[in-house]
Amino acid sequence: MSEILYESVVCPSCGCLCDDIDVVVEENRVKSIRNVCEWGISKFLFTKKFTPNVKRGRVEKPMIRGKTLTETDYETAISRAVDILKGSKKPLIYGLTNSGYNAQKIALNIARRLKGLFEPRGAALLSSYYAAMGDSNFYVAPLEEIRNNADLIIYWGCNPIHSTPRHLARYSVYPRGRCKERGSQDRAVFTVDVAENEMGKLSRRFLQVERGTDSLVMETMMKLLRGENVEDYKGDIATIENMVRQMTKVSYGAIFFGLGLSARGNAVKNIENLMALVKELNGKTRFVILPLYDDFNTSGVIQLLIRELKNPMPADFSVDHGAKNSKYSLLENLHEVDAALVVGDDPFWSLPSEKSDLLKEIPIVLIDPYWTRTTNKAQVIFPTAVTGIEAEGVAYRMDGLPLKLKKVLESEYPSDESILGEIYQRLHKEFP
Amino acid sequence: MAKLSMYQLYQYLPKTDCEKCGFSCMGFANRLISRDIKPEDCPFLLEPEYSESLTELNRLLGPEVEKEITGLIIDQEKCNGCGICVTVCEVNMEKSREAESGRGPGFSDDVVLRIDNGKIKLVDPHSCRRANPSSHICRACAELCPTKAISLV
Ligand code: SF4
Ligand code: SF4
Ligand code: SF4
Ligand code: SF4
Repeated sequence: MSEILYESVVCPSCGCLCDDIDVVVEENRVKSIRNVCEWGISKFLFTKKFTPNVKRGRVEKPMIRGKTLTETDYETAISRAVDILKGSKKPLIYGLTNSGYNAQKIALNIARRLKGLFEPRGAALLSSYYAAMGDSNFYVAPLEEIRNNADLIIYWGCNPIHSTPRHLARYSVYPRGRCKERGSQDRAVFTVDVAENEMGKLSRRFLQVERGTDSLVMETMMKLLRGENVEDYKGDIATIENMVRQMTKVSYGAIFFGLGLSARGNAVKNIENLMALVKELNGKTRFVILPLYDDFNTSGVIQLLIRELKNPMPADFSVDHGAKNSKYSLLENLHEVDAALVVGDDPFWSLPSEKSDLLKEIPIVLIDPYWTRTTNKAQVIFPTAVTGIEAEGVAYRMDGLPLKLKKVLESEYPSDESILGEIYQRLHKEFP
Repeated sequence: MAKLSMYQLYQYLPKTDCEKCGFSCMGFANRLISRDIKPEDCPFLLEPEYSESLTELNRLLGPEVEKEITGLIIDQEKCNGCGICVTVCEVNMEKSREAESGRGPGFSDDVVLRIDNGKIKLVDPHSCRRANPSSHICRACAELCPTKAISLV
């Protein structure tokens, strides 16, 4: 009954990648764990998010679908997956925001070899953000810089208490920083969201906006900054005016935006306007802008695209070398796709039904540790070890800092990286 | 109420140093204070002849006493482990250099509040400012908790 203490482990749950987690393991089970939030502990205990006492069902054996879903071995499953992918004219490689960097890289190479499409989850919002960052002179500010300097934090279209629970205490509002020695007393928080939530209690201003009007609010803020007339704006103009006044008075502001901006409106338009607003603000004071990722390695897959293709857009290898795609999301072309390789994501849950309905029509190869809505539809399912708990890897924090993920538990399952590697090797051999 | 001491708890243990718990009885008492183990982890305390000792140990260590000492009522159900209370508690800050910058306290730092298994835990109620009548009344953790998991009596 010997216990092993792993100190300063990285939590592989959200984009904060907290690196201060102390895990005590006994008989290959997590016995106790310190500093991790409730979302993180659910991951370490293989339970439902925020419900650490409800186990998630793990896929135990590789499965293939004939008339019904049947268990098989990895070898047979690999052959079937390779057949599906080889036979496809335009496969989609999708998900990957919950995989380590090396797994992401192999998946990109599979897409390249198959002349397919490669799209990370949530691409529309992220690609437009990174593209705009590249076009302007902005840089992705390190979270430590924000902690040390920010006197105004704005959360737009996200609720950090749910998506990244420790973000407030570790990086933004509450920690003391070099120039902010009194922590939250030296900072103000604004939140912009569609419904009042826990953030209301800790925000100096909570602006409730109607669904689909975020970009209009951003435009109105810009007009106010330029001293233009805003009479035609019908919402809560008093709060907006007040916020804008304070935004120009601070010495360092940080805006964190979340997936809310794509779930409730046109992601690309929202980002365009938000970036323009930040530009306008930077004419008066210092402002930085960062996405708040709720998957742990969204940042990694974008870094990969920028490094390999010099372009943060999803890659379309069917027309060229993938680098010239200028669409923020390729899912508009989903009707052309005739097979999909999905890694660590549940598109039947996360995509709107008009998109996921198209996926119903095509064979799906799925790599995921758990039963999900997508396992109900997939033709081939590979169970895997959970990266950062049962397998090592590298992930990039929301601000682009690379961190090493440890393995604290032994697993009978291979990592997603090794399954992807196997698929790649076989494609390479049979499909040179 | 005086600070709970290792010796006080030791009085209620079997004092055999049999090490079935993995420690000596004194070591066991020490870990009871830091809330790393429960009285029930000593097999002898589960026997009928120790039932009074067990009840007393649980009383001394229980939430009722935490409440008596600090006036803080913790509802673990509501807590999501965001760590805001851990970061804002000034006693934590004095006791752990990491807590100051928002990191979780180190494994062996002797703090007042820490996140244990995804939830808030008042590990050393005696060090809380509220337990010490001579220091000013603090309510930072309760006031800043976004989920209302900490309230005052
Ligand atoms: S905030 Fe995110 S990375 Fe940090 S402990 Fe919670 S889930 Fe893990
Ligand atoms: S098991 Fe009980 S009696 Fe034995 S050493 Fe531990 S505390 Fe003492
Ligand atoms: S009341 Fe003050 S001293 Fe006591 S735990 Fe809360 S923040 Fe810390
Ligand atoms: S008690 Fe409140 S502030 Fe402390 S970790 Fe829990 S939810 Fe966060």
